[in-house]
Amino acid sequence: MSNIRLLKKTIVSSSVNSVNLDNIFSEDFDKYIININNLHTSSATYLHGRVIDFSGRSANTAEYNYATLYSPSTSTSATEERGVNKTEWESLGYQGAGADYNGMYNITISNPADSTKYTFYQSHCVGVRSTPTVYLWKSVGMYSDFEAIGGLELFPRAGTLDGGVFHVYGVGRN
Amino acid sequence: MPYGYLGEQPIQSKSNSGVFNTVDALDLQSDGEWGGSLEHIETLTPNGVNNITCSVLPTNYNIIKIVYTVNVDSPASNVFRLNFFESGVEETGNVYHYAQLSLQKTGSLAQSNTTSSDDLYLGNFNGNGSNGHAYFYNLSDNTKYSTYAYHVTDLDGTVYFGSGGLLQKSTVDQIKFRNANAPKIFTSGSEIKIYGIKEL
Repeated sequence: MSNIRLLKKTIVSSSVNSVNLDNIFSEDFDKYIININNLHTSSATYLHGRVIDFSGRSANTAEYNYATLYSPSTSTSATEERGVNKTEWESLGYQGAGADYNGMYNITISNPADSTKYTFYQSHCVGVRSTPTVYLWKSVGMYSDFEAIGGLELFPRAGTLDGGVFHVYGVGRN
Repeated sequence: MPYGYLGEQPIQSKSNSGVFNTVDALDLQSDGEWGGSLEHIETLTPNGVNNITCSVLPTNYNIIKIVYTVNVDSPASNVFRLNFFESGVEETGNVYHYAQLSLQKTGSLAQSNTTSSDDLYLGNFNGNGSNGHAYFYNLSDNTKYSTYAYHVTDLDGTVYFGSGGLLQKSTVDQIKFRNANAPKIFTSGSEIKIYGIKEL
């Protein structure tokens, strides 16, 4: 048996403002992988995230910190973005507008349900903005609160989420 | 690895032998809990050649993951490359797109970006080898573009990461991995493991 176990699958097939991946974190695992395939947004935009506590509350306290580095296929440039004490993670990835221009994400979450540790993420996204622009998008961040976390809320900076498949996996300790 | 229930556990009134019967196994399989979610497809062991092509990929995965350790007989930069096969035909046109960043051990940041490459990068072979992983998306879906993201460390201490793809809606059914520093070759100990991320 492989050490990666599917915990939740969520499909977005119509326009929504956000996706709540709730009740996914527990004491069964320390590390989680969230794969998002074909994330489709109404605008060319960033993907944001907030943690959801075990009471189901999406926490908007100013305890989110992140750093992002991204680069497009169309020019030799690399752009840094960062933030401290924000009310959300503002830059998990990026994709273009419409059904053809999707974002594919691999996000690792560490220690969410452990109330003695901060929660961390690492995100690596390939985002198709248009033809021919593809973005390399790499981001890391931390939620600087020892609160145990049960899930994630994901939402676009602008517009709506119009499609995508979300898989959440737990990574076995042994 | 924990077995049994995830999340809330029921109060169990019968003793549990810990042995799955056929019905248990089928139930767990339909729920995606049987066998885990990372399924091994193939391990390639290139040795004495400068390229190797995987077998025809199964079509039941939207995400393919590769994990690799490769050794070569001569160091060089940006020469670990790959090409896709579309329905059995290798795509070698200038149709690949990628953006790669590399963090050098000297502290500098280097970039490689293109919208018209004849192949895709997977880092380099400085120090005579590299280790890394990559995710490939939608290879078998001919209604989507085939894309990938990778993260590599070479044996000289440089980190490479990138994203890109083939912005053509086609069925990609094989991948050729290549040491583009021809006639240099892969050497003993090289392994490219290919997995499918199970879909339900």
